[in-house]
Amino acid sequence: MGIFGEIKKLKNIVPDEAYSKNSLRLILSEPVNEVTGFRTFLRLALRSGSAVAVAGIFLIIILGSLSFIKTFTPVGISSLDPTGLRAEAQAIDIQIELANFNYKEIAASAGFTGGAKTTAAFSKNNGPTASAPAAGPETTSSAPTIDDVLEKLSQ
Amino acid sequence: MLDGEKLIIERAVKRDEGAFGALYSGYQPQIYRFIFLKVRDRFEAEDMTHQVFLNAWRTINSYRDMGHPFSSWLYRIARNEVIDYYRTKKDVISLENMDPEISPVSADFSASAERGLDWEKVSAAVGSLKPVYQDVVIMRFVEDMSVAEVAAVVEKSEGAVKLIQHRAIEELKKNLSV
Repeated sequence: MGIFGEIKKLKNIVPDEAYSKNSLRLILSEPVNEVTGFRTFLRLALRSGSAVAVAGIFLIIILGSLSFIKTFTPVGISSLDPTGLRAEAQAIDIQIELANFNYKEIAASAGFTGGAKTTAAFSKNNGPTASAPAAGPETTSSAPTIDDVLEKLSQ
Repeated sequence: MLDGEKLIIERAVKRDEGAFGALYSGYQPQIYRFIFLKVRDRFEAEDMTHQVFLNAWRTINSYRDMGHPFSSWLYRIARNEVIDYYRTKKDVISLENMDPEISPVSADFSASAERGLDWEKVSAAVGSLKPVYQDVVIMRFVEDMSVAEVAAVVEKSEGAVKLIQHRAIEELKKNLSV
């Protein structure tokens, strides 16, 4: 008998009948785990190209992060609305113009009066005198109100 | 291949116990044989065969017909089971230490006075081959599977299977002549 005939004889190796029956009974009584079902679903979902689910998860994470930043950021984002900023900017402009106007007016009046007094004081005493500070009260006194300024501008 | 196998598989995929039982009855002996010839221990072979069919039952809902016989799918599970076995267990019980009372060979075969070589000697010679040589020899010459079916199981081309088969036979002849 050739080598193939000898190998073929190995087909006579068979499992025990009682073992086989018992094994099948145990297998069929095994509950199908739900986790396996979920894993199978997940695998199929990914295999069939539904990366949309993954993209959705990322979208939720990104939106959640934005919401978190908006809620807990130290600078209130609501104060950065354009209307409020424009109003603030206009108010600053008006104040700067008022300050400039006030300064020019004071400087002009100081040029006519304080300047003459200072010159006089220098010529008499060869140095600064107590008359120089006399211009001080003029610089701090009588700041025009916005009504005065608007009235002057309208003239 | 079983009669009406396609229909039986479709029912088994839907968790029909009767259909799975038919597949079990049809393929369990050859899967057991395949595992036994690779591990050469009856109890290990029984445990591993049980595990193969348990895994098959658990995952049969994910089975897809890829044009290969259903047995290819079972053989792949069995191969993985054997690989895991040798990965975790280094000591293999030798045939000399086996209890003859629990021989896995059928009574008729054991009693046959006409047999030439002893089945233990042949199975030992097969077991001494490289794992992939064993796979090819068992599936081609014990189970009469086609080259294409074997190629699907071992995940190699048909040409590679033919080459492995040739080398395995040469090595087997050498082992048996010693």
